[in-house]
Order: sequence, then C-alpha cells, then structure tokens
Amino acid sequence: MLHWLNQRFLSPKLFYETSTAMLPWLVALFTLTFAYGLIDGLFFAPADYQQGDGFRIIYVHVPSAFTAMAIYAVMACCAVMTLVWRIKIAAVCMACSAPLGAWFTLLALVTGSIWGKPMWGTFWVWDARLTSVLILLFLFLGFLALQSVIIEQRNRDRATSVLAIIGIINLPIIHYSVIWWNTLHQGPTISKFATPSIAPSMLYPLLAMIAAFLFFYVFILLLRMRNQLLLRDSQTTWVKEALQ
Amino acid sequence: MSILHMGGYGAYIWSTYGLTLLVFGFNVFRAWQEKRYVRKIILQQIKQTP
Repeated sequence: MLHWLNQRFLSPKLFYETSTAMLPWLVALFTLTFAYGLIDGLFFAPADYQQGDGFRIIYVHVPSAFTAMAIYAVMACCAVMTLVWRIKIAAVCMACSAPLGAWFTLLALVTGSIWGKPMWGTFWVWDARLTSVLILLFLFLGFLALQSVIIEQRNRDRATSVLAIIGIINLPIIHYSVIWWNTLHQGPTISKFATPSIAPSMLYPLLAMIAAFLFFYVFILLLRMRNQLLLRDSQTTWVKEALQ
Repeated sequence: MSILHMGGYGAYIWSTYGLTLLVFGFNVFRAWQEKRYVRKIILQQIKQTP
C-alpha cells in the first residue's frame, strides 16, 4: 500500500508534473488573499481602542509567527516520513522548508520588536513568548548548520530529521507560554474560536493575511523542491525530458 | 498624509510592512536564482554525455 502510494503520488516525476500545474493557482490565491488582507488591514479595519493604528502591525506579525510554527510542524512530519519510510520527497520538503522557516521566524521577531517599542517601551524583553520564539529561530539555524556540515546525503537526511523531531517540543511551549507564564506578550487572540477576543472587522483581514503567508510558503517551497529534485535526480531520464 | 502618519505610528507600521515585502522579494529572488543555476548545471551535464 505504502509502496504503491510512494510510486503513484510521492515519486519525484509525478511531483514535478503536479507542482507545475499548482504554481499558477498558488500565485493567484496568494495575490488575492494578500491584496485583500493588506488593503483591508491597513486602511479599512477600525483602529484599536487602546493601541490606535499601531495594532496594524498584527497583520504581518501574527501571520509570520503562525507560518514559522506551521513550517516547523511540516518539517517534523517530514522528518518522521524520512526516518520511518525513507520517502525521498519528504526529506527534500524538510530541507527546503528550513530556510523559509528561519526567515519567517526572524520576521516575526523583528516585527514583534518594532511593535513592542511603542506599546511596551522596549524592543526586547526576556519574556517566555519572545524567548521561546528565539529558540525556534535557533532550531531552524541549527538545522541549516547541521545540514551544511554533513556531506553524505543519507546521513544528512537522518541527522536533520532527528533534530527536527526533537525540536517539536518547542511548539506547544511557544503556544502555551502566554498561559503558563506571566508574560508581557498578550494572550491568545484568534485560537479561542468559541470566544475570539478580536472583532470580525479586524479578524477577517488577519485570516486573509495568514492564508496569504501560507500560500507564499507553499509557492516558494514548491519552487525550491523542484530545483532540489532536479539536482538529486539529474542522471535520470525524467529530468532530461523535463528540461529539454 | 494621514495614511503615512498612521496616528503617530507610521514609522513602526511602514517599517514592518517594508521588511515583510523585502523578505518575500528576497525569497522569490533566491528561488529564481537557484532555478537558473540548477538548469545550467544539468543542461551542461546532458551536453557532455554522448
């Protein structure tokens, strides 16, 4: 069953063909959600009663933090698939996700710092949420460093998979840090679906921006996976056919 | 002007949006650069093999 699935859906050749068809759709979905989120979030959502227009940083800060965590979760799933079933495409997905995860985590930290200055009076504080997200950045950077020092492909995939699985413990810590500890960072806003603490007029552009960031991640991920698969399989006939 | 000023938070808001667009642009550029490099390498390999 797994062998059949691997051959049918997880083969590099089929992935390359499927992703070719997906790319224009991802660009269209990203453009739509990003344009709506950006325009509504910046110009039409009402100003916050305490933070005024300063709260509009939420439309880039929360989506980048959410996407960074989602990327790490994807990497951990790919790591299990790499270690248990040795699925080549999962290892490629994990490797190509890591730089994107590092960029989104850095963006979340920097936008959060810029938001912190006018609201808290400081760019940085060693608060549980901020520190755990900084650890996430170090996990991504550690992953990239480990990847660059192991030359043999199979060993590299295994070692980085182990690191990705160990690091997953940080995700619940980031999520619950604002509940478990008394932090300067505000509590959950949109994860409490029963009683969300944000008005719908502010929530819709935020959801659109989260979707846009996720579409962007998948778009760049597919582009980079296609490049890596071409390199890894450069001696095979499907690559020659695809490029000629 | 009020759009730029953003109730006194203009510098903070526009810098975060500018950084976001920079990160997006850089990642698109890197993927495009990698694609060109990979294609060049593989096409060279194909030409060299008889």
